[in-house]
Amino acid sequence: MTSAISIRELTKTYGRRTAVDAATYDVPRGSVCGLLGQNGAGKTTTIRCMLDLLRPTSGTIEVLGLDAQRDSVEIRRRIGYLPEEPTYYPWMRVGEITRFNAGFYPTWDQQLCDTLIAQLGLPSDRKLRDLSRGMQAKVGLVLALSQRPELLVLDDPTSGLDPIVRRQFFEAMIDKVHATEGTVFFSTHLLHEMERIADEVVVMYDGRVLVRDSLEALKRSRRRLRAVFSGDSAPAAEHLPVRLVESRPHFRDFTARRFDAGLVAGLRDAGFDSVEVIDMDLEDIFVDEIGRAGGALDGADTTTSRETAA
Amino acid sequence: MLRSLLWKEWREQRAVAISGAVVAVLMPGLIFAGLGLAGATQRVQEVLTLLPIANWVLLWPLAALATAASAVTGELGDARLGFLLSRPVSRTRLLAVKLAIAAVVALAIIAAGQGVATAASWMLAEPVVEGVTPPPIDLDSMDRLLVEGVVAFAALCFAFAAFLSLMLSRAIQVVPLAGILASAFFGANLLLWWRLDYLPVIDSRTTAWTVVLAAGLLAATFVSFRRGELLRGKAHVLRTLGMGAAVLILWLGATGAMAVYEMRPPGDDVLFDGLAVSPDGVTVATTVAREDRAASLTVGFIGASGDMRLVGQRLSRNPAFSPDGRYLAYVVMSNRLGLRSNTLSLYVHDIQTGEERALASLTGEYFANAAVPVFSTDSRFVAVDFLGTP
Repeated sequence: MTSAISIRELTKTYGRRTAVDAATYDVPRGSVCGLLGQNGAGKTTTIRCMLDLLRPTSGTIEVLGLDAQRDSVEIRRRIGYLPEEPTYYPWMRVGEITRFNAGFYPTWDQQLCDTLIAQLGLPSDRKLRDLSRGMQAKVGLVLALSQRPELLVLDDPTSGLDPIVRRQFFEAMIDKVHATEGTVFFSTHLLHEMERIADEVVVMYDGRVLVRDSLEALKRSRRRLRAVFSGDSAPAAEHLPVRLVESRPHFRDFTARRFDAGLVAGLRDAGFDSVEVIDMDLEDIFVDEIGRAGGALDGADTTTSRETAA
Repeated sequence: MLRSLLWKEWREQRAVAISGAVVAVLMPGLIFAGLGLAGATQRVQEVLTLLPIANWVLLWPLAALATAASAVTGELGDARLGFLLSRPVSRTRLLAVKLAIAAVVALAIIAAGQGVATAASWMLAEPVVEGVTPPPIDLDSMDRLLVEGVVAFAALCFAFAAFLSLMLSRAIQVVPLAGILASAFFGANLLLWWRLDYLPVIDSRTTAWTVVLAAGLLAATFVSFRRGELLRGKAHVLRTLGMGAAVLILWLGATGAMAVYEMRPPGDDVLFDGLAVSPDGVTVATTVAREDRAASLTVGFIGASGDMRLVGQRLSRNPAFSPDGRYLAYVVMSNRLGLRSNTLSLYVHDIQTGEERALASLTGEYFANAAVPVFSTDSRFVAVDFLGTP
């Protein structure tokens, strides 16, 4: 499978701060790939480098087989992009901005545009400054989808939207993109969003890529192992490829990146009485990876699946 | 794509265009209405002659500043520009369209202003000969150099406003700052040449230097817009500032170097013109000019010692000795404003003491060519006909 996006050793620094640190990964064509990370993890910087809105400090990006810097105009012609906080011309009406935008794209599908506007309940004659944030996000989606892009890039598109609008937004997006077999690359800080629609996952933390895998493989390979022991001290498990995440008086919790039956046997051999194997959801995996990276989740920027209404 | 861009730019500049045209049309109308109401209709002719000048000095630079400032500023200020930058269009083309529309709108405002001035002149000018109305604004009678200078200044205002609009978030900040900077650099340019004894103040060379600066700033604007990370305020601003500072420093350096080069002291390339010999036949005076600086003349005289002494300033010429050989009289022509009107002054230099005195002067559209001083036979009086009849 060829890659829709191919990122190699991408580094972007702002003065002394490193926003993206040697990120390398591919996004397969036809996939829905989620870029997960807290605020400040480097998601927006990565996306802006893809669109040549920012220049990487080092490293390369190829989008649809084209060089992100050299062929930026062609790339932007073929991808639909929705920024985190879309800012439009407040004086334009919904109908005007669609006509304005249509002029830039040879692949523009006015029929699709009209259908989407009707489906999402957008008022064509209303000025953009009079629209709610949710409505504006929907306008952005209509613009991005109506050009029939080969790749749809969404930068945290639903941040600040209420859950109902968010659901509507994603349903419209998934419907259309699956129908055209296009690729979707979206960033989010909401885990449940990622879990619902992504089939490929990239997890970023503090500029670094911690995980890049398919969601299915990720869920299949990761396990939490609760190892129970009797006696005062726990048996040693340092020789096993597991990470200690919790210590209690009578058990230890470990996480494993590549789970197999051998690990259970290994823990038993090490002296644990019994081992319980627990499935991990994306949130568990995310927290575990950040723990492995030596970080901690900030209370304010939680990435749990808690629904955050605007 | 071009149609989309043109439509959007026009819609964003429309308010500036309309308000500019309204001001251009309303300003003279209000002045004439006021004159009519005050019963001062005899001043109409004066206002008519001042109207084009008021347009040059106020309307042209203001139109240039306002349109260029609104081309990028607002969009960059509230990140709306992100929408355009993420469309499939090259940044060079984007900025070119923005500035082209801004320039067209500026020209339309200027045309409206000039049109009103012309129309007012046609309607209100008093006929010199009965039945014949003189042409309202006679370009030939205007100082072409001054018009060129004003155009160059408006271009500089435009360039400064376009450049600053990449860094400031509101047009209300860009317009005054760009106006001040353009005036400062335009003024510095004029002052530099004037201080270095170059005449007249606004001429094709000072105008050319102004245009060079405007072009440099526009080039810096394009480079910064094309390569800059426009949505990252601080880094982009610093980079743009650096580029602008480099352009300004280079330009000032080049202007200074050029002016100093022009100011080489008279050497082998002096030319002599208008010879006067003292009555005793010992001292010779002549007009001295540099070949490459025909506009700057002094009077030089060579006495018994054989050394040449230079007297006079700016445009000094037509030396004449007093019959007793003690005084050297000459005429100085000065022109400070770059207008066609000159001030002619009669100077007398005491050869013995070196003292120099200005005796009389006349300001108007006069030239010193034929104004040769004449002494009385007792050397006590000196006279000159500035109008050229010796």
